[in-house]
Amino acid sequence: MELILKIIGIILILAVSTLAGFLKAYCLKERETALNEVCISLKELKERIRLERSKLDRLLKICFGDCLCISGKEPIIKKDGLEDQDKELLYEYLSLAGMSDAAAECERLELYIHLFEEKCIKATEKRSRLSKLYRSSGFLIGLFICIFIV
Amino acid sequence: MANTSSFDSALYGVCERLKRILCFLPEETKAKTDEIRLRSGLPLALTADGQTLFLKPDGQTCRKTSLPLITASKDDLEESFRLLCDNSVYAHTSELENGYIMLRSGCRAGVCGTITENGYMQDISSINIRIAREVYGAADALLGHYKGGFLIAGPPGSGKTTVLRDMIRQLSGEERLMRVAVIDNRGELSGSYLGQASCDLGKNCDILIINNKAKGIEIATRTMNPQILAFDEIATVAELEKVTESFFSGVDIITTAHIGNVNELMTRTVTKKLLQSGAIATVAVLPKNRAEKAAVYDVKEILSGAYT
Repeated sequence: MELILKIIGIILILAVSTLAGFLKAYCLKERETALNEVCISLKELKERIRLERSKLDRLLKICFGDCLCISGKEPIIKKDGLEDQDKELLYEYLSLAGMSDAAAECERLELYIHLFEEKCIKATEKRSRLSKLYRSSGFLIGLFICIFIV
Repeated sequence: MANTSSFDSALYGVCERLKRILCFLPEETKAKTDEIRLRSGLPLALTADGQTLFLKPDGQTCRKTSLPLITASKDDLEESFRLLCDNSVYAHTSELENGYIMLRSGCRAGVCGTITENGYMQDISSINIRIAREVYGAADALLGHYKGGFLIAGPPGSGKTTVLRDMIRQLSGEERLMRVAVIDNRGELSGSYLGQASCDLGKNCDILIINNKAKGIEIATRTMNPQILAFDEIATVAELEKVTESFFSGVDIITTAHIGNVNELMTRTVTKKLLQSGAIATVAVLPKNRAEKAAVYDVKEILSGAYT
């Protein structure tokens, strides 16, 4: 009975630690994907402002879907995968979005597109560097704990 | 019951603090109000029946500036400007170059501030929200005199645009069904917002919103095959030339002109040339006091010098 409980415990520990490692790696991938999507959406927004000149809330809905909107003066960001610093940058853009003429609006968007592209590059590097490490570390840490306990 | 819907629908462009006060105005005041004026650091003003009214902190209106009054701050104007533009100033660039913004309700807000070298308006110092009202029957007394080109003249605030709007509605309406093309360079006649006209201009009316009225007259004449071309305020020689061309294409013209009295028609270059061109058959001069009747003249009488 004790042996069975130990085996179950080992399996659980291994499973949880491996899962934790995989989740951590998944978060890195999710952030990279989210930042890429933000870049694409901002580029689309810039072109639509330049060509269409439609209202900002309509354009945000087209480019970002339900992830982003402006309610009154307050921007609301619901995009998954972004870290707090990423949301702050987006918030910074949205708080003054729409308050200048088309040329200035496009220039401002160009700046934020550039900032998000830099973040994308760093996120891609981080993912390629750390993703395998987190996956394997999760399993190995679980294994080490099991050995330690046993 | 007083019609306050136009007033209430224009309030979305007013900042929250002042909107709460304006919402609770008596219905009578709302029904009579033509303009809501916000000026940075100055008392909030309403224009009703040609008079300026201010608001006291208790929400009552008054005409004395010596009393404590509700004042619009710079922040109020910034917030109102943002609301008027729906957070999309770039979408109103061409309107702001001409000093106004069209509201969703068909009203128009005149904007004053600093215009930069590239024509961009910033540092908004005052906003004047003009409340668009349709008056059905405003042109009833004049329609009986319609026999072709028609000029509606009068001083500012005499109701020229209101009369023109009703005339268009009736001429393109069910009884006459004339094909009317409207050149609406500020969206004021039709109250158009994003392609939807909020004012009733009749069932047989085409609306062209264009900054360049002269070009608009040319486009509408060529493409919409109108029987009548209608537009507000003929003011330039270029517009006059296009009007004359359209007239010789067989299209009747209905337009308005700013004048103080009938004598001025032949002293102002554009109106004199317009009357001499033959495009206008009848002139209605509206009085400053809207309660009085308009005076209607045959163009031949005016050209003969009977009123100079």
